[in-house]
Amino acid sequence: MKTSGPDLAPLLRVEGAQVHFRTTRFGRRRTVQAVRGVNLEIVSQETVALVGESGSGKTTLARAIMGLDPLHAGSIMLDQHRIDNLKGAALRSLRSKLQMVFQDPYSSLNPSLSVGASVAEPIRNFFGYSGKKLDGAVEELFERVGLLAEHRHRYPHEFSGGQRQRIAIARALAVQPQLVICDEAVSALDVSTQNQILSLLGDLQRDLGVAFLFVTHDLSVVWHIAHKVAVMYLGELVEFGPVDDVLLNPSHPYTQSLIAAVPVPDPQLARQQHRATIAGEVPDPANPPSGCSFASRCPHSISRCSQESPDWDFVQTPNWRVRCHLHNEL
Amino acid sequence: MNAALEVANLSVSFLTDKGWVQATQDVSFSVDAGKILGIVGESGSGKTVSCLAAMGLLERESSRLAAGGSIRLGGHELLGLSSREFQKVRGDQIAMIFQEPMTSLNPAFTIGNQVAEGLRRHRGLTRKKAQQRTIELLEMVGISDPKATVYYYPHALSGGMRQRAMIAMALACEPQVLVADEPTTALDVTVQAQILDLIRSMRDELGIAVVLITHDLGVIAEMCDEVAVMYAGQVVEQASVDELFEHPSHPYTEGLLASMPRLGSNRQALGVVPGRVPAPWAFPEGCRFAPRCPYRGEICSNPPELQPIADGHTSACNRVAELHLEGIR
Repeated sequence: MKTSGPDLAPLLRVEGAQVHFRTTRFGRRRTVQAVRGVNLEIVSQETVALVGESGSGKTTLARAIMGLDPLHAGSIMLDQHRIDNLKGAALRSLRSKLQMVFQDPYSSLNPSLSVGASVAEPIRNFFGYSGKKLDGAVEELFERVGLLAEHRHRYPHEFSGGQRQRIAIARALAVQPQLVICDEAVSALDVSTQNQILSLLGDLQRDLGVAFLFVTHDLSVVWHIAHKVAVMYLGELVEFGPVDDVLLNPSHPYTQSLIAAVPVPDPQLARQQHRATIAGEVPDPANPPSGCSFASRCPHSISRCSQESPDWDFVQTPNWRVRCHLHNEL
Repeated sequence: MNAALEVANLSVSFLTDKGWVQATQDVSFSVDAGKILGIVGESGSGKTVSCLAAMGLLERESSRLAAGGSIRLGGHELLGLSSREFQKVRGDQIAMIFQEPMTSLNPAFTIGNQVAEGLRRHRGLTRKKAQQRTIELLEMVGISDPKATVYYYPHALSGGMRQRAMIAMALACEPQVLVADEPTTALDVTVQAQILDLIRSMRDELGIAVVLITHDLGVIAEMCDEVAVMYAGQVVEQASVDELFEHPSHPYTEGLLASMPRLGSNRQALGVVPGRVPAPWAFPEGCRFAPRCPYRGEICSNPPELQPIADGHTSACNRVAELHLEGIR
């Protein structure tokens, strides 16, 4: 299903990205620091998974890359052009390079348009196709994502969840983007349907060379789809590296506890393993702790951890990085 | 000895604009005190409908619904009860927790109020006594500041804390049976692990019987003693958890096991059960799984019956004797 991505200049480069929201809670104004200084690179034709618990800021980061939430600080480059400050026509033309697939295709597809019309819309807007040429392009996309072309006259409610997600993928691919952000795109599906969509995404990457940023909380899905994985906690990345390294030999205590929490689908192994569950939940992002953001839940934390924020450090190779004071000792 | 909950030949039909539609057919399962029964299957397999029926939560007096069979709780038949009679049982002897605690908690009442409701209603406790017991219950399910939490509204709690409050509410009257419908599906894995630990320790401490509905075989492997696999409104296989994972005896179970994504496994081997569960008005004649089954033969146009194939292991596959299905080892 996957081969390792070729070594090229990064397609996407996120540097020092910060996203803040001003909100009120219980009548008090406060600033939520949803993304706190993230650096991330994605090479073309590569799949990077972004994982973390709810409230870690992974969806906000994805939305910031799409230009749906403004950056407070930092920059985002796509194909060596800055994209975080675009407006109007420039932002619109960015949409042909960068697309997004959401978790629930029922709420992201227009229920009163036939699915063919939904897929045709971006093609007409960006390439100016009409008539037979437009029809042909839509038919081709339907076949590409494994749907019958004659179903394009139906409406979203006539399809199952998996088929709707195929339609959402067809619509995202219609403008021939270089990068598609999938935000929990398979989380709502049954496991068998989920596997069909994962295998479709693998085929599309091989055939069209599209890169994916795959936002998910499901680590077993990450194992099957991603080349690299970025682990996010409380608005920061804490570990980044090749999927085999990070998932089989996690270096950051947070990554370790995430992996330990995944249920083992083997009753005998499950009984033997005593699972060390981490206590508590993600702290309040309006009030992030000083020092390492994971220190308050970390089973290994020492006094240094709550005082000093750890810097990036290599684990074995420069491709595999972690932010933990103690990663060499654990 | 009677099972804590025994469902036998449960069939539920709904009157829809496509006519009478049978959502479950002859579903039977039972769970003993202190045991966890898992019910697994894809969406549309009838897992939830079976359990809603057992909870008396389907509108049984409606003319658009017909239910047949038997649901016995500690030996007492529930299926013929009126809704008023059912109210005395529900929340007292059998309780349920749901997937999304935010939609099953009332946003307009405090947590304390909602947990205490069952205690006041079923146990006749005074307001003061009920509050005391509520605080104990919240503490038991691991809510860190139970004295303050009784005054909170649901929106002030995180998803994990809400699910803990739901569990406290369900356990308030010390029921014999707890039905948990996808209790951790909406939660993060770390919080899921905490909630599963909690359900397990409640089972150990209180000796309740648990029916756990899930689509996640990982959760099944970690939690359950017995497993019933459902497909298209029927139980197609039932076995102990070890037996099911090592010697699956229905092609659907084999397909589910093979399509389970697994950390560290061979990436090429991710299986797929082609197609999807048919809608209840389009259930095929004969074996309902046959159209998706890689092993289907002519015999599969006959409806299979759930038959014992080993001690404590049943399968509803016409070809089970000829097939060599693969488990996880």
